[in-house]
Amino acid sequence: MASETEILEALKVVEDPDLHRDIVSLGFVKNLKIDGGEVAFDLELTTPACPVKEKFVSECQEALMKLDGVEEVKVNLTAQPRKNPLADQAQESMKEVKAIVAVSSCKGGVGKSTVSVNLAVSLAQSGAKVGLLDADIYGPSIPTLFGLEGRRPHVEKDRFDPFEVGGLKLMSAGFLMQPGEAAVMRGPMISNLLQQLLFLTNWGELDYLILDMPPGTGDVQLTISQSLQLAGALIVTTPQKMALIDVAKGIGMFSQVNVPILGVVENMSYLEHGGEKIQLYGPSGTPALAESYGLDILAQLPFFPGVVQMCDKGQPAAANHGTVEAEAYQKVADQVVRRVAVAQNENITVPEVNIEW
Amino acid sequence: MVAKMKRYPSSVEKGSEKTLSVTWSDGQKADLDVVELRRACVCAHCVDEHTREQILKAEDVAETVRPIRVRNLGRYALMIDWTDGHSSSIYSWDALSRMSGGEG
Repeated sequence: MASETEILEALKVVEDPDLHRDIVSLGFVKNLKIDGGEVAFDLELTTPACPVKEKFVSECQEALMKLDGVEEVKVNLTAQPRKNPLADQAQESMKEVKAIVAVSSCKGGVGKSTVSVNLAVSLAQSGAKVGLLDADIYGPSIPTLFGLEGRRPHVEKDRFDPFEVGGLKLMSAGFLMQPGEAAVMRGPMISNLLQQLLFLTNWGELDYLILDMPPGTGDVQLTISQSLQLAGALIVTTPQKMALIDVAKGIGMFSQVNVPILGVVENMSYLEHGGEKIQLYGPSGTPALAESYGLDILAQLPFFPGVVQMCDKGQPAAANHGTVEAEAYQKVADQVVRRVAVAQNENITVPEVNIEW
Repeated sequence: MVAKMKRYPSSVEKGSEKTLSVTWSDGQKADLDVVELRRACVCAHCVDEHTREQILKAEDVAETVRPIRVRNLGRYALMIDWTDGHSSSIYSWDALSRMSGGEG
């Protein structure tokens, strides 16, 4: 009687003409059963429409019948479901992430990263498990904001371990690139890098994953919004008209892909000086915009002179209990928590679909 | 003014060998013919990106075509891979709603 090893060895003469490898090392042979002189196995092809499947069967039979003690060979043809590696990885990597919140600015320079970082810190301080992904390929800021410049994440089995600072899990494009590298990257490369960051990071169990999005409403932003099940998007803007025009574009993009907008955070709304609020950008246009799109303004954050300095030192302002800054960001975090809960409970939660036909 | 509430699917299942069964949030249930779904693919291979003209002809799609896998794409669409080798056909909920005989 032939052993399993002998049978597999004998089957190695059968090659896939397209892949130029034998069917055993390709892993096509499954469920091998030997019952006396009868050998039966499944041959799992890449596609049910494989044009050479009959040839495979006869070659397998021919090879095995040569072995001593083999009287009958039964080959059951099956086909593997078409793999979409990206979607599979997305599901695997994100399965323990309860809510992904995108922080988007539409326009650059409005303090989106500062808001993302401080929001993440505030959420973590209220006891949630929080991850922060710096997806801003053009200007990754998390390494600087957390004092991790020049560090590289630990890689094991092609997956990254995020950095952990103060209970926050951190990952940034900046950890994988050389300074200045993004300037010479084309769209597809950027999308690729982002997908790696998202799907190859061991996020583990998270209540919130905060995504610091690249500014704008281009290809990359659209890819993220389309391919992830975002719980919602938080829009950061400044009061001036230019920023608001861009915000309108961002709102359009998110609504096209059914991502609920949690609200607007207006940053740098005013500067407090001697008890007086000075509106450096003039009267805010945000309320009008929010009204026309039916959005809520979650906060109008003033210029916090300390925030920038502390960020540059790698100490997010929200981490300092009892300060005005920490309180302001805590309010934003509370609003985000409530609105994510509402968004997830509304009828726009779509059913999980994964049907193998 | 309150905008009209868009409808969303409450369940998506394999109906029969040839139909995808979608139940909508307003209670309507539709059995969508998978061959018609394949014919309605709006990807860049099937529809001209500029003129929106249909490149894929109905007769190019065999009656025997079936999905291999149906799954979510983000929150806004389903993605279907097909037995004819065509993959990643995208159907927004709006498009499926229209095909189900409702509004987008």
